[in-house]
Amino acid sequence: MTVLTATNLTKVYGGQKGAVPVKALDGFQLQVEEGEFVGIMGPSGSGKTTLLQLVGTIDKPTSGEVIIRNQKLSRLTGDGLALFRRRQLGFIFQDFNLLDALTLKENIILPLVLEGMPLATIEDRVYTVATQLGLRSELNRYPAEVSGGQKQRAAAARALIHQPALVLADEPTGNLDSRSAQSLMEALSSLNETQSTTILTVTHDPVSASYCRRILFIKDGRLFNEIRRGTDRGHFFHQILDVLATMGGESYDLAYARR
Amino acid sequence: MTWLTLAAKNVSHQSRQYTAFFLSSAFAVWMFFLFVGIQYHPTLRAELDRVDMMPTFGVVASLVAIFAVLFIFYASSAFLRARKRELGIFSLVGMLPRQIWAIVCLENLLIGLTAILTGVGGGVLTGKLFFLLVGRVLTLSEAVPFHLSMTAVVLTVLIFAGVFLLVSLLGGFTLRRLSVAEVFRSATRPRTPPAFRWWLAAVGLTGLAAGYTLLLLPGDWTESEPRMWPGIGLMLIATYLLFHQGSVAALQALRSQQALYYRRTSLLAISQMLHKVRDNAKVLFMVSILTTLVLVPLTVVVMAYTQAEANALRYSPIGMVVQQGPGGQDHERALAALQEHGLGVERQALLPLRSALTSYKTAPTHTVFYRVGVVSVSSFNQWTALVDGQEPVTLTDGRGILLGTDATAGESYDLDLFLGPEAKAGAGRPADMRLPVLISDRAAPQLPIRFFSLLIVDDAILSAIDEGYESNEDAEIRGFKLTYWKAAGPVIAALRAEGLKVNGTGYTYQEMLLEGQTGMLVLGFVVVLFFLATGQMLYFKLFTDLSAERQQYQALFRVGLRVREVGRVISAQTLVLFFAPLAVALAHAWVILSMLARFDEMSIDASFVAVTVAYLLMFGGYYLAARRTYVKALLS
Ligand SMILES: Nc1ncnc2c1ncn2[C@@H]1O[C@H](COP(=O)(O)OP(=O)(O)OP(=O)(O)O)[C@@H](O)[C@H]1O
Ligand SMILES: [Mg+2]
Repeated sequence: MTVLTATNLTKVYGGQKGAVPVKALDGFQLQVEEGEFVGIMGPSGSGKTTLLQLVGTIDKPTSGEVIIRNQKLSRLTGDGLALFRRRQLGFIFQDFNLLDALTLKENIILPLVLEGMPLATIEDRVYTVATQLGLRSELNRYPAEVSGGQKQRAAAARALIHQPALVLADEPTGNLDSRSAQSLMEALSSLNETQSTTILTVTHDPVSASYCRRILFIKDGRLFNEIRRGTDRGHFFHQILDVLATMGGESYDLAYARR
Repeated sequence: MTWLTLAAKNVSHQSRQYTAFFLSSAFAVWMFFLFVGIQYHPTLRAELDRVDMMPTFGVVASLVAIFAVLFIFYASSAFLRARKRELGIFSLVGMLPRQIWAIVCLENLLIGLTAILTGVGGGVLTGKLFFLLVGRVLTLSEAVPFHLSMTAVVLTVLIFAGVFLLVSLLGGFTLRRLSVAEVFRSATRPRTPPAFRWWLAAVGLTGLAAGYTLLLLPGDWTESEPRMWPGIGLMLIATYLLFHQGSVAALQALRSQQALYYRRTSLLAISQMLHKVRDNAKVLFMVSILTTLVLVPLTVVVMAYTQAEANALRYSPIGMVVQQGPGGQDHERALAALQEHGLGVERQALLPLRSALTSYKTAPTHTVFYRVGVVSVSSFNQWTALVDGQEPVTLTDGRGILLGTDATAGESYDLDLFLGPEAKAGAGRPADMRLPVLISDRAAPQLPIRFFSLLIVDDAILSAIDEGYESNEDAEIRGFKLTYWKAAGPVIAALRAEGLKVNGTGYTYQEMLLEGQTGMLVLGFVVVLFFLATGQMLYFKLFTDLSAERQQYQALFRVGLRVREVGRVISAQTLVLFFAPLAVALAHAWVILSMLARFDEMSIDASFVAVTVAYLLMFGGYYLAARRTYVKALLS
């Protein structure tokens, strides 16, 4: 079943107030099936975040349409948009975006609380997702008291707990050391395999990217290339490096160094 | 658990910001309530009406109100900005727009209600003290009773409830649009630092130079007034431009000084300030304007107060002056009163004033008449001797001397005099006497109000007038040089209360002090209010940046930045934040005061220096406290 269809997505920034317009996305096409784990790579400024924003209902496209689970996003406004986001989408960011005032557990259950779920169900769900992400003993700590990797796993738990149709992640491993990055990607990929969670993630890091099943490469707002993983992750990793090399761009020094 | 309990948890987490917002709002309410309270206090109201201070208090109350409103708007928006991220996260996980709005409204309303209650409650508790103080300042003899005016309470509550309601609604509104995108973008896209633009900087500098020139250009009040407002307007615009462009330029210049820039801490301080330049410029601008607004009146009042004695001696140099009809006995009563208080008289003089009308052609067909008091040169010189160091006058070429007109000194012309009873004066009647006169700018004694100016004539001419004419408008003034003029102030006040036309240095001095004190009281509150507001603004500024900065510093600690170095970075940033606007405000205030001083021929220097020093001390204290709490909060 198709979870996400984006047709002819174009996004132009600026241009009204005399600013030079920037075409961040240019007729982009994308289709994601249920249970896919899709990575998006591309040089800085190529439009990755923009794509995620359009898919995530944060921003509206200049032209084109996004359909998630048969819902045309352009038809949604106000409350409808918030409800859709609450039920169908989960977000993970580079800088975690947890609320400092709440414990990890309270942070994780936010979407369910907003949905007004019964307490027992909430407890049940939080237990499950915390187990999957290896966070059980950290649940009652505050964000300030845990490591970056644990924070990011809590953010992931919050993005997953309401079993959304689609999880959107923007450089989730960007602020993590390589070990935490790997363990997060492993957790995501196992959730993807066991629960068939559909994930769309942007990443700069070829190692993190190698956990995905399919990778789209963007350049200048257009699709540059697309590769699929076979069974061997090591082989996939080298494929990724090859594409990146043909693409050019300066932003991979860090990623190489980290390996 | 509901979404509201989660929101409440957030509130308690950010208690520092809430407390600041709450306290300053409560303070504004308190101030407003007290000032409105004065206006509805029966005794004080009557007294203020009597000394004509009612309008001043009205103006101050409205200033406080306007200011309170602006401040609450500023504080709540600063406060919202600080929480953008948090509310953005709520929105991201799917909180409905109206739920977010509800949170913001609810918080604002809760804070607002508590602030109103606290402010009014505090006002009721401290009102007695405040009213006593105002009574003291107004030198009321009886203690001022406490009076709780329901009108004042209702007025305060209504106005502030309205303000908070409005703020809540607006706050919710801005957030609705901003929150989500904000989180998303700040997560991925660093802001580009603003660029330096030569033309903007040039416009700013030219504007400032033009503004200052307009204010400092010589000229009297009528010439200066039309230049003043454009000058001040230019100053305002230029200040903002210069803070914006100036900080960009300065920081970029520092950045290009590689040796300095790459010393670790300065790199941090500079790049961070550059990053926040836009927000900073706004705050720096507001703080500098507020500070100017405090410095100028404060200096004027301090000056009025410290120079009261000199001014009293200048405006009313004679210890006691009695005005009465010819041969009146009021001066005997006044002397008796002085004696009762053991006050001695060193010397006295009588100035008999003969009334005469004189004509002045305003147009070829139009003549106005005005009354002059005619005195002989010998009695005028006796009068002159009452004030130490005053030269006697001498008449030359048979010309009289005219004092107290607004004609140009040194000019001379022929003056027509109409003598005798009033009824005969009028157009067409020939003058009784024509006299050449010289205009002098020497200070004239204070005359009964029906006399427009004083004419000093030869003794012979005066006897001629004495013999030929009589007028029931004649008068006499008697002057007394006192051994101790200050002590005569209350005596003169008592005599005036009896209805006598008495004046004197001591009384003028007393009045000036009263004016100064009332000014101090009123200003005192405004100063405290503005000063606190300045502090609050800087405080908000610092703490809205706190969470973002804490993350950054923690990352830097990991790369080996030491606590001491962070302290240095923060010191540098806070120093600029506090003292750059103060420096600008001092320059502005000095220019404005120099302009004002020109009209009053007074010297502002000493008072300005005193006020500057006091302000530096207060600001210094503020700075130290802010830096300390900030570093502590950052490291915690
Ligand atoms: N709000 C905005 N206003 C104007 N231009 C924008 C805005 N957001 C993004 N852009 C521009 O659109 C282009 C694409 O930006 P986007 O953030 O999508 O890139 P990205 O691929 O996520 O880059 P990175 O890897 O650095 O995060 C860039 O040129 C960027 O400067
Ligand atoms: Mg991006």
